Amino acid sequence: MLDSAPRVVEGLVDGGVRLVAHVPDTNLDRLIRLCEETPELQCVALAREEEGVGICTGAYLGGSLGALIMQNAGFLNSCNGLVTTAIQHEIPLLLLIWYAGDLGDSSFQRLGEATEPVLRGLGIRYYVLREPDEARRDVGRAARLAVAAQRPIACLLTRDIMEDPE
Amino acid sequence: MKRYECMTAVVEALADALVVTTNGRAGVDWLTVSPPAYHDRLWRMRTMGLCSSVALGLALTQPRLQVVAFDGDGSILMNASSLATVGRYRPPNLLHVVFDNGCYEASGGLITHTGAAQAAGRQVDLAGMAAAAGYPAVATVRTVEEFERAFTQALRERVCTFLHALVEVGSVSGRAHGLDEVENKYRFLQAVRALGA
Repeated sequence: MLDSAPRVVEGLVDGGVRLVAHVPDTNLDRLIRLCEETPELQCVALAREEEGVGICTGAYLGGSLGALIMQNAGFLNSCNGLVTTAIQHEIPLLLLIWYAGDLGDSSFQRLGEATEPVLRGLGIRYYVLREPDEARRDVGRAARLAVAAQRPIACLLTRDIMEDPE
Repeated sequence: MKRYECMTAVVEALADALVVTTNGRAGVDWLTVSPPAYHDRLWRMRTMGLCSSVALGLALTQPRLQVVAFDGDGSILMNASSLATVGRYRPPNLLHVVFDNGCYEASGGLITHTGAAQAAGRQVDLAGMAAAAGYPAVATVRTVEEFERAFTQALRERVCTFLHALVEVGSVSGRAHGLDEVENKYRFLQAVRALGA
């Protein structure tokens, strides 16, 4: 079965990410477990996604680049923190967002519809990852772009690159 | 007691600490009562609620430095889930102070849930919430002397602590003369490096 989770983790490490804050989704379960097993990554489980914007900001101030792994519903939960902390203070931050409601997902169409327009509205550059063979490279590049730009950068993780539990 | 009186009592104890203040007047109070040498080690939040989370991220990534959050009742209630996140990781170098004035002071003074409870002769037990969420040490204080004692004890014993300070409304007179958000970031990063952590 297709499984890009190890490649995404390698991309995080390649890109210099040292702290991962996360909230699970069925399709992120394996990725999060792999992050927790990766010695280079300090992991923090969250109760709500916006906490992760704060924790990753504190981590960056402490010298560690942060990534926030969550579903797109959680991305919507974190919008104020993203704008008034991460963007306003120019904090590098990698967002790895499970793209519920994307092609192949019949459960969360409204969430899928809202995701990219909200990212655009916040001025967050984002990349939709669909090629498993490029997952490692793209995640690493996105993390480095976040540092270069001193901004949050998002990768939308699609069914094409993540394990399909069905 | 007022928030800035509590802060004044512990200035000397924070000569090498990283301080995070919630939005509103807490940052102005700390800038006013602390010497200029401290100001690059102050991170002033603009986002209501995330003070506790930024402090947690700092404490986890800089375990040798003391991190102090000066939070508020409205702010912690807005990010109450962070209590359980701190309670799970419990970094020993994190001291989380919540100044509970019972109202949204910075935006005009409408009462918060803690203030509404007090007005009804009840209490929202923020320290009890923190203890139940896993903080290994909590205290509620009502006087500056109690505050100073509990505060210095948390630093001395180096245990993750939630300090609930019941304060009156009121801030220092004066204006925010702090840095803009981006200059705050670069100076704070330099200050962390200078501390050699």
